[in-house]
Amino acid sequence: MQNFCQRNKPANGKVGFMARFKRIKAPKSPYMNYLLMLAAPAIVSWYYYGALAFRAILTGIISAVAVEAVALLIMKRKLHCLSDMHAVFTGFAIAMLLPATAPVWLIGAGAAFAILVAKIPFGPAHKAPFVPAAAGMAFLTVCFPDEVFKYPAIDSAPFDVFDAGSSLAAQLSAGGIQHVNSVGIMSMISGNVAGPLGTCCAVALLGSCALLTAGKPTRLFNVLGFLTVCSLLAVIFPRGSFSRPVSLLTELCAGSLLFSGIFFVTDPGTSPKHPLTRFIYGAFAGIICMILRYFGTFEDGTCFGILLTNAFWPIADSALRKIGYHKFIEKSMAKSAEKRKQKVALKGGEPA
Amino acid sequence: MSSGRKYSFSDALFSSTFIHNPVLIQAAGLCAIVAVATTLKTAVLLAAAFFPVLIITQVFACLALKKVPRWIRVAIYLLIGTAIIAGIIYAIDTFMPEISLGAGIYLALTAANSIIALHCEKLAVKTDLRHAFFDSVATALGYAAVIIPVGALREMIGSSTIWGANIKVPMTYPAILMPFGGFLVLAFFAAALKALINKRFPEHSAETEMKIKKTSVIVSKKNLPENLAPAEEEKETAEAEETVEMEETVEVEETVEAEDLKEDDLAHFEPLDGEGKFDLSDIFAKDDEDEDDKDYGSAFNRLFDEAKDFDSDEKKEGDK
Repeated sequence: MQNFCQRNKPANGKVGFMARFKRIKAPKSPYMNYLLMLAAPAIVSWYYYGALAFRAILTGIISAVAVEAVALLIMKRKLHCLSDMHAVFTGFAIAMLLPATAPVWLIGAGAAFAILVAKIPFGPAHKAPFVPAAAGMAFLTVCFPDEVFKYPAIDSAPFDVFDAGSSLAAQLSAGGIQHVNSVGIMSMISGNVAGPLGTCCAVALLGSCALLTAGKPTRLFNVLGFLTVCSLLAVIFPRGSFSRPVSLLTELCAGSLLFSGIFFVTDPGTSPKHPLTRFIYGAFAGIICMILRYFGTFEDGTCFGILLTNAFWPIADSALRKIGYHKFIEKSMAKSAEKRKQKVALKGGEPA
Repeated sequence: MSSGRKYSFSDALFSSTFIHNPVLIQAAGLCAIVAVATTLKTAVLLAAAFFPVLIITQVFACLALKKVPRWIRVAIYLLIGTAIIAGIIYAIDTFMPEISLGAGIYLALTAANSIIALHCEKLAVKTDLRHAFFDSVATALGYAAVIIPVGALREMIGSSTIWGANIKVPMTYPAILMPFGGFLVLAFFAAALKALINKRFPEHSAETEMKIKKTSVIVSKKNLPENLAPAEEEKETAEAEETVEMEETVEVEETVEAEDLKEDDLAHFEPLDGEGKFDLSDIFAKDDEDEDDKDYGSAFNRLFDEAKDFDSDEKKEGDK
């Protein structure tokens, strides 16, 4: 099979000028697409937190890339592995999940753990059994819960005022309906509330979801499964004295639920490939994340939910196989392959 | 061990402590290490309690249990271990009550340590006293050589202390004191030992391999390597028996390779200049040999399948 560059290669053997632009438009590494998706919440975080947002993001990216580069050098592997942008994505995601005022060492420790423990021992990015960024965040949450959940008040520039328990996730776990009502729906969906750097603005995150279709549209099935189950559980089992609509909106906007659903549940390395299996995987992740939200110790345990999903998915998968699900998938894939062949044959003017 | 030479203690040390380390290579007796080896004191206590239990049980098994049926032997190991550990716990509670608190129930559970049953069954009841004794001492040393550094490291990183005394550590990570921290430390220790064996003693590296049979969810007969491909005379039979379903299966895999790998896998991350500069498949050529389960996706699934197949193979062998 010819790759893009080979297809666009001129006769003299050099890569064409336009081909380079096309290459940028349609990146092959899935993590390039994820970085483009992260741009929307990053811009919103810059709007709210200014230079603090860039400081956090740069720290995350530099630490993750530096740690991976050093690890690759020690293991005598080529540094070309860095070009998959997975380390950049990991550092970026960890920075977005932490408060804007998170100290440099905290971001660095999270990125280092994610790369050294959850990625490097398993080889390339798509071989890691756990999402490294989620592993890094889980580690930070266990070690330094005070720093991880210490969010600055959003209208308190230069952000030196910390209101403990003011985030939506903390309010949810405490059942603080009064505070949530005072926030307002617009503030909630636009991210104008105390919380992690890049996970509060639901509008920006849903915009990222649109970009997800540019990389691989079937990944939307993961998000759909995840959000469907989370929404259903939020409506059926509202926490505290929340009404059902408020519970739905608050659960989706609070903490890192939406962010994890878009960036971690769709992770190419850990997610299944078939659309229906993707949906089931997303739903499975949604159930675990919501259970942890309801019964967990921390105000936001979504990262633990993602890790548990990664760990327990093989069991769920084998349970699906026992009921004959894989045969159904194989048949449907065979049918779609047959259809594709017929289409190709028709395009080529050959009889099907 | 060479056939003409007597089994010496150095042979036992090399084999049971280093090459077949009970914790890092045989993955036995992990429970106490990950759960309570969070301080150097507890680690030393557990290691010290393990010595008499293993040595006495293994020597007794060698002397008296060779002709006893297997199903009774395991229960006897447990009884002997319990009797010894009861005495040890009584002595510790009498003279050093504060130390035994740290180990909790895991000190008593040393009697049921899987290393004891493993070494008694695999070696003690099949060999002479000298061999069994040396093996038990070397195995206990191997256990101590892992649990003590793990306990010390976890105490330093998690509590900034060593043997209860404060030390200056720039950062304290209490997560390392949790069981998952213990697993992480053990995993890195095991990787380091495996790397050392591969480098210094490559002739023994095969002994430390986990015997996992590589299988996949969907096997394409076209892509089978030569040594796994069916023999010529079997091919006709296989072709006759091959159903339409198998043909579909092959179709499926081709589709998966064509559609999913090119999009999702970084191994197929195509270079800008078409000359393979950024081709990760070159760097991880060995890792990317088995790409045949892409319909179920995760790398964890593959591990899970392999472990399951390994278990079933073991069962079959046991039945035979």
